[in-house]
Amino acid sequence: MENETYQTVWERLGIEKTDDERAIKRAYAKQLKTIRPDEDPQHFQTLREARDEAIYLAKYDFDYEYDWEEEDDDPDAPRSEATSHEEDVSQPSDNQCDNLETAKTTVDTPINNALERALEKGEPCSDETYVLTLDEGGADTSHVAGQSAELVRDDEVTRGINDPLTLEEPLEEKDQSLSDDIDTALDIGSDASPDISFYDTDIDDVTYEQIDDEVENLMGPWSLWDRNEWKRFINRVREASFDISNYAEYEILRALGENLTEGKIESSYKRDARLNILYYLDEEYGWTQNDRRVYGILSHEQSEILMDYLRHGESGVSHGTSETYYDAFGFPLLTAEHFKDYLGKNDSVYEKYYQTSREDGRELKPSWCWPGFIFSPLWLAHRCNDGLEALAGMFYILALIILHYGLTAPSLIATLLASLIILSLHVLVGIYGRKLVVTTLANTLQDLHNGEPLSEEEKLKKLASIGRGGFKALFDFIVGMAGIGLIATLIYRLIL
Amino acid sequence: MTIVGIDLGTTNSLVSYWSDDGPKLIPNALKSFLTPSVVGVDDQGDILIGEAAKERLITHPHLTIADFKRTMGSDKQVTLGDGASSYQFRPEELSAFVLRSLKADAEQHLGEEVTEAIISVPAYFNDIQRKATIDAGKLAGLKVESLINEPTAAALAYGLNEVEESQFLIFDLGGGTFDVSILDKYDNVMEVRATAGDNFLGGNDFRDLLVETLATDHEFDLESLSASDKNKVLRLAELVKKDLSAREVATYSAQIGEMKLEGSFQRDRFEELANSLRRRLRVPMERAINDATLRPENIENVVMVGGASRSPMIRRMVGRLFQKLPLSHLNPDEIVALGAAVQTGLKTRNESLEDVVMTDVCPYTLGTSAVVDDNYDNLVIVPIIERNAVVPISESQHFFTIRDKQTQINLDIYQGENMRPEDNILLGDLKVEVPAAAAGKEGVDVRFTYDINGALEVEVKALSTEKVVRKIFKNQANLSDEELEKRFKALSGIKLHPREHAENAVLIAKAERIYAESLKAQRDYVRSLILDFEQAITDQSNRELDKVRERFSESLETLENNMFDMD
Repeated sequence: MENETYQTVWERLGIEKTDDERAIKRAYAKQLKTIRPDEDPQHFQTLREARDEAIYLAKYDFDYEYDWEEEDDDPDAPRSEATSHEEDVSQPSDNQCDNLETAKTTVDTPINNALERALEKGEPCSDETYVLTLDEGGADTSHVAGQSAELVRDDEVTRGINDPLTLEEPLEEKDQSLSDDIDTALDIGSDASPDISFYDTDIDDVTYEQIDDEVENLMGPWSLWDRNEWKRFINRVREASFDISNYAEYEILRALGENLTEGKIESSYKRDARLNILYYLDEEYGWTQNDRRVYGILSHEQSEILMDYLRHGESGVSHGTSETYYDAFGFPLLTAEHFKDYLGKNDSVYEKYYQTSREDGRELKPSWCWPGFIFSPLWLAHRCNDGLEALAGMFYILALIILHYGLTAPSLIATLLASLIILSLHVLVGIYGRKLVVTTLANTLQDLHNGEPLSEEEKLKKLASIGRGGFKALFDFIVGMAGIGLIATLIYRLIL
Repeated sequence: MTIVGIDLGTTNSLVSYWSDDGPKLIPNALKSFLTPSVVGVDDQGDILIGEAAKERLITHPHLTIADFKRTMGSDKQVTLGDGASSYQFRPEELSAFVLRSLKADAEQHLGEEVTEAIISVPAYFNDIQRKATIDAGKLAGLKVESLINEPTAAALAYGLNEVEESQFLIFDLGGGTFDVSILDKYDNVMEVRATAGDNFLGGNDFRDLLVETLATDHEFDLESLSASDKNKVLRLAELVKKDLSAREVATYSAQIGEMKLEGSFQRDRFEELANSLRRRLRVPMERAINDATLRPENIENVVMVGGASRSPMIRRMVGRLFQKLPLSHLNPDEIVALGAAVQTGLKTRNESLEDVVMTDVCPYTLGTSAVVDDNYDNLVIVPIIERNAVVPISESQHFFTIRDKQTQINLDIYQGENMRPEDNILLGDLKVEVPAAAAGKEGVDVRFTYDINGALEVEVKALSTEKVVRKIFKNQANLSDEELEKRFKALSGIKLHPREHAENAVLIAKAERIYAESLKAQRDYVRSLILDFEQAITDQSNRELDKVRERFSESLETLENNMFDMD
């Protein structure tokens, strides 16, 4: 500093060097009582800068130098602390930018200004960029007070930025750490055993019975908690003020049953995402720890938004460019691109059908499809290329055989019967065709997702190759036809 | 001497003060805390403010004006009335009327003269808009002690008692402005971490959306409607909007001019229409979170402030974004005013607030324009104080000459986040002389000091000669001092409608509106009601005026309930 008496940030704050952010803030708060921002702006600014730098040091310096042992020694550290630490260390490389962001605001140097500008320009956070901006910063450091302090800062910036880059922990690690965190969070909740007597007084028996069936439906065989607790919870949601129930009921009640069933949880990180966020519900509404815990289990949709946020640093839901997601009802989330690549022509019809029918129901509702009705076997072969084209082939040859029998048999009943069977086959395809297509697409997507990891682009390419199957589909179709034809011939021979 | 806190809102304004039991709101003559920010001229040429003026928006559109906060800081003049008795007002003056009425309410309530105030402004109000607000205070005879950012005020009111230690986000969606602030409270320190906002986004935009849709649905052209019909449509849209907050479908039927508007509106449809507005709401939230170097899950609470935050659609969106159920303990309309009162308490170092320290941020970037590459025509902004820096703050940077024998350095001072100077707000400029030398040899040290009240001081020092040029950007009013004085005198001459008659004025204005909206027999009935009531008022001997007024009010209530069948 320019003052004759050089003070370290710790001296300025009046504390020992520490990595406890809370302690730094406390020291700052204490000093702030004597140095009022409106009365002594200059001292305030130095105090604030000292605070910012101390927090920055606590976050980056300590973590990498000392914190590895200390972590075990101090299990009672505030949870927020632990979380931020985990994030710093365990987020893999896609979070470089975030770390840079952190570095930027904690130290107010030209380097960081330059860094920020670089970030704003959207340049990749590569080493080259960093060196470049450091030069730029170095060129006009002259006006920043305190050369020695400046040096320390440069050093810190370098470390703060480089270290996260070198730490390339595998993705599983990250999942694990997140999951631990959630378990802790849930444990905190379960320690406080829910006060059931409080609820009992509030429950109206009639309402209780009314919701009984719904709870039955929602619970499934995998309940995590006592069924009665669920009933009480749902009852309370209904009793809560309008905006709560309006907000909660639809999404929560529908999602609860499915999200809680372990069997439906595909991977641990998805579950973690869902559990990651605990709603805070105010005492005013009479919600207890348990209610909050229950409420904290989110619908798929909500957790996906958050996951997206974490991954891309923005909350735009961009399903098309990241992994396959599941919608609020556990159904793979299909995007316009999926439809486009899988189906080629007329994809918008199916996308629209999917959109409208997934909006509120768990099941895809049947929707009438004229091409499916008219060309049913051919249409099936054209649209469903996930093995179904073989079925279509069978269906096709079966229809021909029946038709042949009906036409050649001399009885009117046989003719009618044959026509009826064909007609009903056509009607069935007409009714369920679209559903079949979308389900096939979803299944295909899920298979792709469960298989080897692919980028979204590769996935789309793969989808296109399956969806518009070409010769392979034709082959399957013919095999199906031949197979059923063979069987039919055999049966015919055997009987006659 | 009490300093009052004032929330000068787009739709409603409130006044408050710090009492020993904490912040208190001051009711107006109508016993309501909310005074609509509407100004009108009545038939006698007096100025009507608040509820009475609001009621006259439909009946006397050319004599009444609302929403003028949106034009604060501009030169947009409004003409009220026509012919000889017409007035021309700047937005500052219109605001001044509202402030005058609030001041009168406070004086009545506190029993003493009130001359100082802290006024809340949207955090994202720029320097010019802030100055306009200070000028409005001056025009109303109030010394504006300081301005406080609305979300900061809300945070103060909320954070003071409600939380011990937490990081929370204030979502302030008012009638015309949108602000987001992130506040960190610990050890009695209330630290604003970041503020962001959109000055031209508010509940009224959602209403306007409905208006547009109604216009398309019923095939009328809003612009071709008379001013009074236009206001009727606005009112209808407002009602539909409010109704949609409470239920899934709002049905409406209204007679507007020749047209009969009838139909129903689905909430889903409204939400779909509002998608782009909702997207705009996200931008400041994301920016604030990023600026505070937080992640959404670090936000422990989200506090909803402002009338428009009542909408379930908005609440749901916020809930999804933060994965938290948004809170709104205090009446969202009142929390900002309460916070302004807390600020007056802090300002005067009230004993009960001795230990509390609040630090705010400068919500936008301040900088100057300079050349940073070889292309000398390519001016860009060089930020000196970055947005969301804690205030008070003082930062400096060096700039050098770019031409040989250059003798003067011009510094334009800008506010804003854009790279190109022309996309930002020019606050002013400074010139400093330097000795002629080779390019880059001579330079200046530019120091920006931003104080706690939002005043910027720029100090430029020539490096070689140590010559200093200083400029304070406070009170560099949009109106010059003389002009301000002149306007103040002119405004003082204008009579406000007597405060004690406010209630009657409201009722009559309301009755006149109902008259305008109704037809045939109902009109006759309303007219007779009005005339009777006026008779009762002028008849000084009538001691039962209160009862008459109550009856009158009840009749109007019944009439109105039958008119807009919203169910």
